Amino acid sequence: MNGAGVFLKRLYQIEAFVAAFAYALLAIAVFSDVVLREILSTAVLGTQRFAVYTSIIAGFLGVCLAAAGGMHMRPRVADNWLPTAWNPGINRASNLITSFIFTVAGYYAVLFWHTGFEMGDTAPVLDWPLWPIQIIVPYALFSTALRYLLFVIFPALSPESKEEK
Amino acid sequence: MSMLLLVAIIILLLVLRQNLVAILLVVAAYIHLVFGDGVLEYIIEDMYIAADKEVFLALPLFILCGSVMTRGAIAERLIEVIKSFTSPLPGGLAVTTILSCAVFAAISGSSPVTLLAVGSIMYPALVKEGYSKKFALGAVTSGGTLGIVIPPSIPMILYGIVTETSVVELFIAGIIPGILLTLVLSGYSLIVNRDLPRTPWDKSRIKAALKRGIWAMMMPVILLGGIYSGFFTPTEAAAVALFYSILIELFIHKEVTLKELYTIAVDTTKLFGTLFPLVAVAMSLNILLATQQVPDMVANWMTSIVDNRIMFILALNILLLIVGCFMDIISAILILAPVLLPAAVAYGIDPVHLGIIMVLNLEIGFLTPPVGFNIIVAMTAFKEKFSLIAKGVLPFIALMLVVLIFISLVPSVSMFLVR
Repeated sequence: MNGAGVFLKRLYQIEAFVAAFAYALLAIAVFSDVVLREILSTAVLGTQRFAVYTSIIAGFLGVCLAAAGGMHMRPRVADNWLPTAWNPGINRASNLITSFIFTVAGYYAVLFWHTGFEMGDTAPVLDWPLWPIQIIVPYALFSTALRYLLFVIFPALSPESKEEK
Repeated sequence: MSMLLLVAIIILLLVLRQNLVAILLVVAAYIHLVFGDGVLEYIIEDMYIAADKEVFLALPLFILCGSVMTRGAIAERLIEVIKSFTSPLPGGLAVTTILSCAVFAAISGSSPVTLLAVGSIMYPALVKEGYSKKFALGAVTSGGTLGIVIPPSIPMILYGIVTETSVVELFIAGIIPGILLTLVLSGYSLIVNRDLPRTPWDKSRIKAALKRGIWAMMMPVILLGGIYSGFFTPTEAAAVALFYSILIELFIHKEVTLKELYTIAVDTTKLFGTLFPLVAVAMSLNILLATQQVPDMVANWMTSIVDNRIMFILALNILLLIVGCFMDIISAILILAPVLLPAAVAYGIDPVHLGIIMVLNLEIGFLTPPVGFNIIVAMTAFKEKFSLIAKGVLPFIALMLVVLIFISLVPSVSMFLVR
């Protein structure tokens, strides 16, 4: 495996760990909210809000992980419109365009995040600053764009190539 | 001209094999630039706002819960309980398959998950007992679709999110249609297989199955009982069901280890990662369409060309059946539900009833080529030919169409428990 392959593997491991951790926190938060309410007749303020933020983190990291696994839904209706012999080239072009789209989306995500940072947006009920949570949006979009770009440069790393093998 | 250019861009993106998230992002950007205010930052802002809702929490929790149950022994033990009761019936194993799909549907919320969990056990069993391969494939593939009709249902949650309709009311409205479909499919299975040999009642087998399956049987009771009694919200019910399933799989069934739970969580995150951006971008697009009053324009156009309610319902069903052939249920609901809702309301159709009609139509889409997601899942899981599975599901599709027309034209079937 080349350097890019090792990098993508490590990136996947880190993102998977953080996403699974966020997922666990989300489940624990919602479950503890029910237990506290129904059994102890009490509540911790903001538990649902906290769960929503963990869901946002898990969801956006899921975008990166799904890209790594080639799991994003793709309409296949036009797959046979071009000659099969062109497939390797089309796949590279496809990854390049996807990378570009996610990069542009990432740029606008940075603007969105920066606006929130400048305005000092805070989480309702919890009163936490939102920028540390919202930074996941540009991160996930850029990480996904980077993955697709590496699939263009090293086609063997792309999930389509692994499937074909 | 602008619309033609948009269609051309979409076709180009399809030819260039772009995924749905990328296509929706480009479509949203185009609409913002050409028809809207041109501020693309709003797409990201709307995506974030869409994800920043409590109702969104039900999705990852139900997906995770379904994954834990599929890897563990809950499905196998539920099937054994149902089998012990239905084996004396003619075609008992076929009825077991449909009922098992229905019961598993009541805890999973997903069609492919139900198909895989029940089908992987029941398909070999049906073939071994002398049922034709065609029927067996038809039964497990069609029965799997009950996963999205019988609540809890992930497509119903999505419909609730994008149309701001009560998820609890949608779940309640799905009960009678789900039971009706189960009865019709079970009845057909009984009639077709009436000549197959029966197994006599075996009290000791029933007792043993109940003893082994008691923890698994409590699952739908906790989940649905909690939601319908108002004890839990759907999100809370999903969290309780998740913890319950983890506890019984770890400590009672001992079929799942802690290490496997981590793998399940990562796999589920990937699955959620495919849904999450779709819902977020679609919501962003829907906010934009609503700002441009597109759903109202569609409603006005439809009311001008279709002059009565029944014609509208028939046209709606035909449209959704065609859409179901070419589009997956998630994309169809996210894109069409907000557009169709104002038109349906203009004809006096309750948003909850529309949700049930949409889910039933798109459920059939799981079985119709060329997309036919359940057929593809069954092909991969059972290593059988597409044509054989497609032939097997045909009679089931015909029955589902009859039920669909009945439920579409008689709203009280769905709405009886809601009101």
